[in-house]
Amino acid sequence: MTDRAHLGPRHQQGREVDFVVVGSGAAGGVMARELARAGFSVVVMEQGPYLNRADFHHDDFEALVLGKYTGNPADRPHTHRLTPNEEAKKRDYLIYAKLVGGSSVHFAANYWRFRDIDFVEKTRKGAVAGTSFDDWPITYADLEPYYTRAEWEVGVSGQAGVNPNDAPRSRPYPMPPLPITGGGAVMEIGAKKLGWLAQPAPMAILSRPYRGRSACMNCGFCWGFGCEWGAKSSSLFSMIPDAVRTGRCEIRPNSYVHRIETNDSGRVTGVVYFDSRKRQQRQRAKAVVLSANGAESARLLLLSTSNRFPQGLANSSGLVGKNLMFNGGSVTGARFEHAVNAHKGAPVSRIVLEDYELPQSLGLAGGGGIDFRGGSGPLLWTMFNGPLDAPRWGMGLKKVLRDYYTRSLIALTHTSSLPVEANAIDLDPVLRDAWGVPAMRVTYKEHDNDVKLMKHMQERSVQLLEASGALETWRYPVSEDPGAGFHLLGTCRMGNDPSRSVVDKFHRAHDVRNLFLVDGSSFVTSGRGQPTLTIQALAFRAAENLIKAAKAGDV
Amino acid sequence: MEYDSSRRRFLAVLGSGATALWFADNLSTLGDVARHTDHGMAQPAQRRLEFFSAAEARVVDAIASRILPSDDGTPGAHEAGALYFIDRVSARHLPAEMRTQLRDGLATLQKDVASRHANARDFAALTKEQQDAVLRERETSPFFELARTLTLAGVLSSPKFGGNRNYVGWKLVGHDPSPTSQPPFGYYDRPAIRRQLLGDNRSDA
Repeated sequence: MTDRAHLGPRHQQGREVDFVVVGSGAAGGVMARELARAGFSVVVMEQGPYLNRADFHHDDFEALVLGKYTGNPADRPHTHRLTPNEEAKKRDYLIYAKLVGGSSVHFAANYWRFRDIDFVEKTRKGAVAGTSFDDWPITYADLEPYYTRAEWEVGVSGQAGVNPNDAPRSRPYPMPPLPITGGGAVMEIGAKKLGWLAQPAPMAILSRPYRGRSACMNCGFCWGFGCEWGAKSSSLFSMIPDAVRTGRCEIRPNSYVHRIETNDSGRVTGVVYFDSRKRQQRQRAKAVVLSANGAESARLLLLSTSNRFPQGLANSSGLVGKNLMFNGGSVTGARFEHAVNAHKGAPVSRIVLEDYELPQSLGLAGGGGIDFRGGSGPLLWTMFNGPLDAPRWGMGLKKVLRDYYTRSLIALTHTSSLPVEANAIDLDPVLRDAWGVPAMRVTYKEHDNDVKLMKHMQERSVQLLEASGALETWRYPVSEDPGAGFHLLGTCRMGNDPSRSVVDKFHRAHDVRNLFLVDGSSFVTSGRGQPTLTIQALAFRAAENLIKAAKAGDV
Repeated sequence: MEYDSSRRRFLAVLGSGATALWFADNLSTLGDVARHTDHGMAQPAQRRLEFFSAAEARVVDAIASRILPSDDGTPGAHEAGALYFIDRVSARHLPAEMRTQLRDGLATLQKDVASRHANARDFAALTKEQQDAVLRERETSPFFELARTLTLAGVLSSPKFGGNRNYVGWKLVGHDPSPTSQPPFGYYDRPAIRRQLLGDNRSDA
């Protein structure tokens, strides 16, 4: 097809635009839409392709094994080690989508707000040794209007006012919760027995037609997949089309930015990128917004060294890439007497937040939540989610396949991660990607507190499963090596003190006046496990302030 | 469950419930999605080998048949055409080291069988009991792990990759592949069961 209407106007590469936004995910989509709507010219650089509804199939092999969304790890390899004194080994460790819409295309769409405590936990609960645990420079009250905006602009289903401990809100959800799923119904049974609250889950999936988009059809292929109905409120279906509709925003897919350029006065002048044919190109801009995610944004800053910025751009604090947080959690399988059919409907319809804050007597920082859900399609479910001691082949395996798929589910817990300086993204000294650019090196090991927290939450989820009537449960082990990172947070933290943070409270780099870092990298603490709504609320707030500054000539 | 009627069911949903209004405005795109949903699962018409020799294919089919047998008279890996999935994925997607592992594993297996069963042409010619004994000896080997993974994938992946013929795998586990669904999805979320188990008469979504 030669039709490129979905990509917007073609901005000439030689010409300077107002803004380049690197990344088109949860944050990049919001930034592009808001800046373009305010009248600025914008180019969005996305390293992956533009896929749309007709490209999204119920195909777990293609999505999860062949990496349709996450890309080929052979092209973009990275390495991992647990601690800084080890040699990092090649590992497919960070999982994020590389396409227009970013990981908001394939995520499970849990849209929890943070609570007050998440912004001021250090002051309220105390410092934790061996961490860089700190308060945010903003409070929940500062962010509340933007949570509301995000919920209404992208389309979030949910029910306000059910849990008195939820953070106060200025407006209800724009639409009711999604239908209760098998997992949600089971959870309600256990919660009632224990006197806990199983509350309707806020989800970025439409329960009603909204702004020209379809409601959810309950096909069950959300977690790990793009939505063929456009009902999942990814940037691809919500923010990007709005941005393009302004006529001022170009989406440039298959464009891999590997350097941010600066001039002698220390200002950003644009980006250098590889196009789909691996030819090097430049896009000049008056300002650059980096929304490439908590791993890629840090890497890009570290790649953009110059005489003036020898340790990487915006890195006078030395904190770029440090304090990486993933959110922890645990997985426990369970089988029930009757059909749950957890593969139908949204991934999550009920959540338990009883442990959002823990009793002091446990001596643990942070907290978490629980949901019951199915897997990501029958293939992975069957390979990884059966009982640990199940027969692996023969008639025994056949019996397990027959008995478990419809009757079982997994209890996931989602927990806070403490920021630890040694947990970091930097550049691998040896490995390069398919474009010859230094690959990412990930150093990550769970803090002791967080391992204990995950184990505690796993036991709480088992308690809930048993109260729900589970016939058997099986715990997948929790360890200091999480095995993979999905939520990429904390690597360019926000703060008032330029020696202890990378961006200010409006996401402007302390060191570079026309560079803005807007994504999970700004997080000071991790929240309890579902960061995307907070990423978008921060983006709406950052955009509003950036627009004001740009109009006042202060960028 | 009628797996082959997904398109019919899908069209039946058009008239129903909360989304009718949206459907009225979106019939043209909906047609596209319906077509792609069918297309996305269509099995390749031709069944010819791309990677294995005929002799290798015979053995791969036999191994897959022991990993997921049809001894109980219901379809297993053989009936699902797992062989054709394994063959196609090996040719098109597996990294070189896994292809080598597969080929070398088959060669070693053949030697092993020949040394112990002089009259047998290959693994496929052994009795089921003999086959199981041979596999049991190597069930912790990387070759067996790869064969097991590929067999399961061949049974449970979208038919478009050549396996899961007639949705054999999905029927076995109880996976309903229809592109849309309506609550209640299972037993516990039925309104009557919820009322009974929760002991109240809430009526939320």
